[in-house]
Amino acid sequence: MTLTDLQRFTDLVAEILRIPKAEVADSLDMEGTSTWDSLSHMQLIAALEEEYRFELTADEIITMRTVGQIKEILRSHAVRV
Amino acid sequence: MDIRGRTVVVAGGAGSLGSVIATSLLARGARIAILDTRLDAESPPGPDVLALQVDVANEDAVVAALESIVGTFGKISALVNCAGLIHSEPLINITERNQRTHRVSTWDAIIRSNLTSAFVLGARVAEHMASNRVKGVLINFSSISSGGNPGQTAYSAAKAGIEAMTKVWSRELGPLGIRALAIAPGFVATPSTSTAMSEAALSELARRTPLLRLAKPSEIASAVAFAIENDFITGTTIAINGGLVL
Repeated sequence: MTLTDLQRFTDLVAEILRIPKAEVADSLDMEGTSTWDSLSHMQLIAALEEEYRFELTADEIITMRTVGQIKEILRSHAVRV
Repeated sequence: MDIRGRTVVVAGGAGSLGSVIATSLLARGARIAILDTRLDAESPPGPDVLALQVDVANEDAVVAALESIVGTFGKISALVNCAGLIHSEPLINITERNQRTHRVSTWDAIIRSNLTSAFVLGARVAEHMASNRVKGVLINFSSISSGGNPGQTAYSAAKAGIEAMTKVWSRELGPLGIRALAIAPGFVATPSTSTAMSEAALSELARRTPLLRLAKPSEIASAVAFAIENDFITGTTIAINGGLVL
């Protein structure tokens, strides 16, 4: 893991969900985050795909309901976060 | 998007305008799924055509139809929502003894056939595209009447709704690479136009049109092909009206 990769990921999540970077923890989830709705989820998908240059599958998109789950999926695509 | 080999759903594809659009896309190499409440000889035949008799405002029927299309042709790349009915009826008619206002029943029917149908089918196709990661396009049919055509309260309202709905879709679905746009024809020389409007009214409209005629259905079909092929057009309405402004 490099700090730069993790920082970039944190910046991206914070920007799209409009939350402070300090709140971007693995436990952060859709249900408990008012700004993480279906629209921002799609923006998040598009931003991740643009940043890391691969396409998420429909199953992955449905699974991504916490920051920790997003990180796991990104790691499965060899993204070091 | 290259049209060749793509699956395109044409709602209202057996109608006088929809059948020309379906035939045009078929000639460009698409596989066509026609959804219409009636299927007749105007539907183009062939192995690349699937014609299903469906009321596209009926959600259950739409779900079943889409399953059939995907089972036959695979993923859907484009939707052309041109199902609908033209209807003229004044808001009030004080010369009538009994029915002096626009009937609510016809209002409901016109909103359902022109706006609800596009919403129901569009939502289901968008969900299919998102789930299957298809960077597709949703094309809704507006009309020059969206600007407010006297004598067409319900139809004009439905078409204005189409344009607003299309803008929303483009913004919601754009991040996934799914485009949404509307096509707003002026008055097109089709049997349904002749049925809904008098000969005198159509002649007057042609006279007021800078190009001095009604549109040919093929001119609308070419706009549909352009909307599918151009990957950077979304969230807008393409007006094809010969310069006529209502």
